[in-house]
Amino acid sequence: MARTLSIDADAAPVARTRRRPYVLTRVLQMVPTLLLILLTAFVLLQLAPGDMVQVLAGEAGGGSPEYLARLRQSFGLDQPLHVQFLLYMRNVLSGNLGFSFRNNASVTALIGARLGPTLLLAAAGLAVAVGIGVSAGALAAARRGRPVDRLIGIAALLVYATPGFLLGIGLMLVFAVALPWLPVGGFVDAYGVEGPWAHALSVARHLVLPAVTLGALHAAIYARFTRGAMLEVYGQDHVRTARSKGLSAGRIALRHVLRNALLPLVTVIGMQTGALLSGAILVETVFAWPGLGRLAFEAMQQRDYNLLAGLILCSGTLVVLVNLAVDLLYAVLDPRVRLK
Amino acid sequence: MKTTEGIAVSAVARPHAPVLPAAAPRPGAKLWRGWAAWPLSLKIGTALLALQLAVALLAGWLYPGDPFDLAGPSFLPPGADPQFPLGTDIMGRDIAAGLVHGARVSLLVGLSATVIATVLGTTVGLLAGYFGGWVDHLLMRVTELFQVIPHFLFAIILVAIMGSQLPYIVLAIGVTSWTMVARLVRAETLALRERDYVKICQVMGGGHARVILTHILPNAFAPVIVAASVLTALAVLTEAGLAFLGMSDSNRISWGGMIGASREALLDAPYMTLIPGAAIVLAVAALSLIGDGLAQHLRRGGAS
Amino acid sequence: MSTVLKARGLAISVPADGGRVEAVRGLDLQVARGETLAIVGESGCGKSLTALALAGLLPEGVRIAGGAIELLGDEVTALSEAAWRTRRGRRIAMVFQDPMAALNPVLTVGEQVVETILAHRPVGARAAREEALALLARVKLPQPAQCFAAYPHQLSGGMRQRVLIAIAVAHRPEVLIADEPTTALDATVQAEILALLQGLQRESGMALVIITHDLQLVARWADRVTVMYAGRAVEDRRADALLEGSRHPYTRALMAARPRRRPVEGPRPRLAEIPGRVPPPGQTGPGCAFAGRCGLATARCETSSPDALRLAGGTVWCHAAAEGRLEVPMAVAA
Repeated sequence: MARTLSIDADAAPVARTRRRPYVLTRVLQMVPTLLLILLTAFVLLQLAPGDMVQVLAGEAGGGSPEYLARLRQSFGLDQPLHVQFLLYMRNVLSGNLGFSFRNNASVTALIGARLGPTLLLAAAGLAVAVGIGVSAGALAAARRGRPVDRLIGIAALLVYATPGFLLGIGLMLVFAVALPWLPVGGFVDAYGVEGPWAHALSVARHLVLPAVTLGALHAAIYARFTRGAMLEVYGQDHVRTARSKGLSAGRIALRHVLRNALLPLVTVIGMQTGALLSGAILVETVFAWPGLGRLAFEAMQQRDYNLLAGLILCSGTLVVLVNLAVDLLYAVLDPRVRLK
Repeated sequence: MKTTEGIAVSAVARPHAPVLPAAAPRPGAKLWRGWAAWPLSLKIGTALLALQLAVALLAGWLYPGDPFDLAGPSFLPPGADPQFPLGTDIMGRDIAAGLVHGARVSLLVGLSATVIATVLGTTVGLLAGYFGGWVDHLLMRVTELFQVIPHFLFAIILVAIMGSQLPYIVLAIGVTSWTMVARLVRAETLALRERDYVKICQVMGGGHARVILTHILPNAFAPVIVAASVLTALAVLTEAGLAFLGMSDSNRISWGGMIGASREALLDAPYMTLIPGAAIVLAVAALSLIGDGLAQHLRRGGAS
Repeated sequence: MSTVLKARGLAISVPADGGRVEAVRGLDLQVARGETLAIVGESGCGKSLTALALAGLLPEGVRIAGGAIELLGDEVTALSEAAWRTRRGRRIAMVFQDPMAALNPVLTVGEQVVETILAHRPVGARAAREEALALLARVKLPQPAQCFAAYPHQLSGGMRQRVLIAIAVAHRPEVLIADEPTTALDATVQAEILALLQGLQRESGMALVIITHDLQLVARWADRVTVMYAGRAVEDRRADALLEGSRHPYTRALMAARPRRRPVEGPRPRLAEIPGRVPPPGQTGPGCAFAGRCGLATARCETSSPDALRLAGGTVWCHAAAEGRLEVPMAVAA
């Protein structure tokens, strides 16, 4: 009987990374989305009540019709809409997001000043969320059905159901007022801070409560997700193979279950970025944290549409970038995507 | 002649032939049948929600009059005066009245916004999933747009533009939260599109609308209901957040607004914050439990 | 001939409709050192559950409801998970049906083989690597070093199955259970995998239990066969005796239902079917499970379960056979 080789032509394993073309594809995919964000900001500005020129004129103390006409022209307000859009796009791409009259500063400058604290808060909140969430979820999955599992489930539900501002207020009441361990709000102590280390420490102390508040909600979401993902992976065939090898339960849990369950978690984290930024608005307001969220609150109160539109642009772009990073990370973590 | 031993090679079924599997129950049929069979989370959630709905509906009878009225002395703690079982706030408004009327606003906004989001999301998802091609591509870009702009921020700017009357708040929340439903429905539609009975219907000349409405929509519905309860929970939270920041209908009292108004008194009278806070937690928890319970119940074998 | 694995009166229950139902009932089987036992049956007859039970790998909710299992002389029916762990991979190993799903997609082949080795013999990383490469060569994988560094999705189905076999025989177990090892593979590959298994068996003298629905596989590779129907054993005989002439109506029907070649002259034979359907677990009556579809069934068949009847080459469970109502066994045309 003739023996036939069982090797397929493509079976010879070739470890060739296809990361570059993938990156390029994803970056190109970003462009239409960014354009749409730009368009949305523009449309919102058009819908906003009030003519920019009237506002300008009002600030300048009124003006003659010729003056107003000249202003209109320089802002391109007398042009058809699509031209205005192109002007707007050109402005944005060159870093000009408009001017905030209420704050007497360019929108770009305002956002630039507040971006750092928000990024810091978001990163810290994410760390809290992932650290607590994944641990709790893994624990719940490992002790499925037992009291610990139920307890974690109830805790997650209650945290999820508590609005961010309420949680923040509650934590503030307990840890900053009743027990004066942590500061009530703000970014850094106003006095008595000398040198970079003391400064960093002070910021860190101020970061604790806002970060925990921001991260708590997402911790509940991630805990739930991790639990579900792990339980699902537990039922998969390769876990059965691992059991049939005689591996210990701990090794199976970490190497064959958690590791595989964390892959989709990365995607979920990406999807929750927008919610994280949204949450920052309320948390920053409660804790007087000088970030974009607080800026959004102030812009809202002052009906500063320029600033609000700029914030939409900025946050939307941020989310798109984070999603890109997440996709790339996923490609790195999952060999099935990394090596075709 | 060859015979196969012991077996009659014929199509005559023996009288004891096994019973064919029963036809699958109609979607939705199992939901109403024994509600004792509902999972615990569904029962608790529904009970809590029913309680709050009842309170909301009866608000007019329980506390007639305007909850914004300065009904009594301010800073009255709960239990001090039987006329104000939950006390009064900074201005002397009855907290219990605020709670009861606030239920109306929160639940109304929550449910209406969800209806809008569900209708929008389902439409987008159905069209994208069914037609595919450039329609899908276009709709997915739009969906992605609404996904990357943070929902709360988007709602804020919409309310800032339109105004903070109740219908606008409902609209703003509905318009910014439909993406979850759209993705869900699109995924279901893509799967259902390949099923045989859909293809048969198309071959037999059923128009697109007919196929979508009679075959795809009813079967995609189950996960949408689950998503709707999650959306309602989120909508209630969003409304509370907007109200806390001061963007609520000034003619309607809202739980979030009550919390926002009581910020100054936080240290002296935390009950003004905690009581409406508890109401929010209760409402959102109830809706979450319903979502979980529904998902569990439907997985066990309700709709397809 | 020493028996390495034995089951007596095995019953396995599964959850169903708020209660429990027996998917396997009163099953006897055994396999001896160096022997190849095939467990044959249609889908749903309980053969996979039996295989899992023999290795203590029943999924959540599925339990052994009765009977006893003996592995290498030890009673393992109610063994704790910790005790099972010392046996699995070392004394008894399993190979599963879908090789892609059975391997962890995020770990390389090498990592998964080395892990197997280190599970029972902490020899150190370098030694384990050498051993792993030797194992991969032993299962006749070309370019073992490249396979070692590859991820499962980069290999073909046949190669993946060889990897799983390597993992299974790493510690030279006394028993290897293969659950439909070739069903997911191409026809050309199937014969090779089975030849490999038999080769490994001859090398180490391990007992091989193959779960399958394919009678031709049985004919070619098995020493003994247990035929299962609806959770019960109906016939347990030496393979040659079975194929010469089965003594059970179901087995005969199975063999007759294979597609046959068109004869040189005369009409093409009709594909023989067995009318009716396999009863789901819990819906078999008190009598013989096959009674509803058997042409030789009598009232007794419906009410009482047949006892074991010893005959040439094994055992059969059938009233008609016991009562001599079966015609002289006919050889089945290939």
